[in-house]
Amino acid sequence: MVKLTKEKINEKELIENLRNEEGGSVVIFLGEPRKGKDDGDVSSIEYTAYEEMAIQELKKIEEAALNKEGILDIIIVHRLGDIPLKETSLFVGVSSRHREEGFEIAQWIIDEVKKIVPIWKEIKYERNRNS
Amino acid sequence: MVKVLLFGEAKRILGRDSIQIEFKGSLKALKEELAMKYPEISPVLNISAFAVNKEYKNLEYELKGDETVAVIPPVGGG
Repeated sequence: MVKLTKEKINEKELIENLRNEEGGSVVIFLGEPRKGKDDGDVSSIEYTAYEEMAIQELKKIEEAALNKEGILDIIIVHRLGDIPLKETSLFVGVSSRHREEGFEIAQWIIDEVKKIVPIWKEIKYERNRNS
Repeated sequence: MVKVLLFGEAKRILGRDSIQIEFKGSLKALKEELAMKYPEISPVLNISAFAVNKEYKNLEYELKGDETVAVIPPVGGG
């Protein structure tokens, strides 16, 4: 399942959806907006997307990942809009027979999302100062 | 007409999210034409990827004149 959402991501519910009787491993990655040490008073990070294309690219990533040996299920959810620090912007979950392929594919998915999916971020500062 | 979609920096600089342009030819030529008409986004164009009808294409791709072209500045999801 792949999704773009403006709502807060419910990680627990997504994890439950990844449990599989044939699986021995669920690997989860949670991406969060990050404040660099020289960024000052960051209040949130705003994510925008070319949504129709982003969904299409996410589906391609999902399809390629599901074709790998031992992978049972994939969930990729990217949140858009203003995301406060310490909340999830990207959820990647991989259900697999064994942990090795789970970690490997999760890493691959994250790299692909960051490299090709048309999503952008802009740092929002407190006191309405924009970068 | 080719519809050019703008995102990120290009959208911010021009204050609009799309441009309609009468155009036929390669993506490379479209990029050059956009840089000429809108020199303020030229630096963004130089570091952007291009998608035609929601698929990434290289600059040799030939446009017929009725496509939607997206200018995709370096992405930063995650």
